[in-house]
Amino acid sequence: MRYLVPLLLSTLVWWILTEAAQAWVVGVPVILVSTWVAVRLQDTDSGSAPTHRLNWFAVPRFALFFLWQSLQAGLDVAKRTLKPVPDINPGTLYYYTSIPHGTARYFFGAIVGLFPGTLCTEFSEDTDQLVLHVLDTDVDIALDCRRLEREIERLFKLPAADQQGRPA
Amino acid sequence: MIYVQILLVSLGCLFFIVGTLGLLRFDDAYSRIHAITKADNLGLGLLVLGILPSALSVPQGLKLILIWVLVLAASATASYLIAHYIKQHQLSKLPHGARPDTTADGQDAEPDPTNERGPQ
Repeated sequence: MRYLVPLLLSTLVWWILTEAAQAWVVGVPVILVSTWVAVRLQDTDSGSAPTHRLNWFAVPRFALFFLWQSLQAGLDVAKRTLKPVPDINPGTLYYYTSIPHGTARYFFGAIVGLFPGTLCTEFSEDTDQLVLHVLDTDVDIALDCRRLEREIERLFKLPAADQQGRPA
Repeated sequence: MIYVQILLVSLGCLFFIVGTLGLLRFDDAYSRIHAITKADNLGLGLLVLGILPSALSVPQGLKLILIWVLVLAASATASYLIAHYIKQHQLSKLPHGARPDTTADGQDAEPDPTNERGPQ
């Protein structure tokens, strides 16, 4: 099972890359090597951080949420850029996340940079505090981050957090 | 259909221009990362959406989407890495061309809840 998902994904990517050209003589070794690398990387990861399993059924919902937020993020930044004087009020937000340490939190830290007005600048493995850079300190960014956390909990089959995360 | 495609591709290009404009107009490094990542992701998304109907086969269409997904993953990771580097080395407030002070210890900086940068 640990090999199955990377194997299927590698095969799919190869099939896409070659546009179904059936170049399996090269393809099969490449697929096997990439599967092996993927599993090896998972192993080194879980040495320090717990690996969270993805809930594949939650992917479409998350994808839609992500697409909508990307649109908002792009429009938001375009609106701010095109003002005669750039309309930004940047600042730092110390944010306490309820996402547990591990894959899910890495995912949160990376993807938050693609959501409207947020960018993760510091990431700690010991505490729940993340340092976010926000484009406009007048917007309630913490609220948006909570929403993203709920979606990530669904995506990774995490137990829903009690609202212990304090808005910074 | 071709007009919808032209519209989508043009909009996509517009967002690339806006992203670059943000990179030039915003005056601290973090805000520049905001502009370039978010605008370009949307721009590339619209571009891919615009050329998708012209794809000759299913794998070709999937390849376009795969390109977008890979760029998303790369820009999410890269934006964090650059922002983290700036924070550690306290580069965001330095004027153009200045070199980071190697003795400054960014790690132990006192948390400053106010703006990184004064009001304009």
